[in-house]
Amino acid sequence: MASPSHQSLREARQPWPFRVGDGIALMTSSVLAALAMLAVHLRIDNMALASIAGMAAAMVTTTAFTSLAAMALGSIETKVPAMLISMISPMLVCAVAALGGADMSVAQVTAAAASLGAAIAVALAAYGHKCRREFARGDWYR
Amino acid sequence: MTLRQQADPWALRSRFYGLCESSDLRRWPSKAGLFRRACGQTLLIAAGTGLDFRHLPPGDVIAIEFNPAMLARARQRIGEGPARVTLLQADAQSLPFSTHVFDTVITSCTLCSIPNLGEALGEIRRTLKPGGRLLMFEHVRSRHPVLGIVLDLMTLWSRFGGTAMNRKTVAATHAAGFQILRVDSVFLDVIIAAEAKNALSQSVA
Repeated sequence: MASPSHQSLREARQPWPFRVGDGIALMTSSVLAALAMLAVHLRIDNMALASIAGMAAAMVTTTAFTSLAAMALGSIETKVPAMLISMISPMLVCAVAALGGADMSVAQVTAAAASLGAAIAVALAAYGHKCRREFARGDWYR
Repeated sequence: MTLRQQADPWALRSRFYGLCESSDLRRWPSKAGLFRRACGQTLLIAAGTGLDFRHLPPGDVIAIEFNPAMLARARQRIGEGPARVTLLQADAQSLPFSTHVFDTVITSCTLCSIPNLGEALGEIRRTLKPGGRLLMFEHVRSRHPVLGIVLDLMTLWSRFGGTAMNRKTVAATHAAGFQILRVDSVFLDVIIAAEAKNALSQSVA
């Protein structure tokens, strides 16, 4: 049987400042990545080229931001979710440009990307909770 | 600094590790909780800059580090915690210790960076007493398919710095002959604190 100290470790949740910080960092990463993609789309007409260059710009922008955020929130804890969002959020801009034939405004991109970042933050928090539950049951080795 | 040291990613990283060490603000409760389980003669593998010395429980700990630049920084941290740390330069893939000498082996964000994980785990098994404990604070590949792909992609460039973000370390530890006693989530299923037992019989050298 696990000792009480270990049990408390198992059920430990991150302190709330880190959870709030994670959410804010993810929303910011999402907005920066989407704005980087928008900036490229506004300068390059070729859709395929704009998407590739925009994705690269989004990655660079997000990496620069997370390198700073990581100093307060932890390296892997910041960079892994930011990498995920920087692959998804710029696609919003591409999808709207491809389907609608027009680019979104800065305000629209900011609002949509921030919402997406918040949604991913909630999804990751739920996944973290699921992991803790599974590990507590000993179900770590699927 | 020599040309060889400049080319060594770990020597370079040792100079910037201070920037990453704030991760410890978030991780220390989990690390301290895991390391508290160390008992008897303890080996800390890849001490890095010695950041974890402060989390080690009281007792004798031999800490090894391969890179001279890291070792120099770690030396300055001896005495930061309650443990009596002896620091040595050694390679985790070829441990300079006799068979079955340690009661506990600790790794802390180490197994992601050792070139040959199987070899290192084999050496840990050899030096751990039968029934001895391996305490691992590691980042590993997520079981989640999307997060797993994210970590695979990150490994494409983190590998140049000597780190693999997508190792299935727990499975490898199990495959190496350890009995996994428990795995705790520190951050999702990407950073874990795990305890394993050396299920090795006395007869294996």
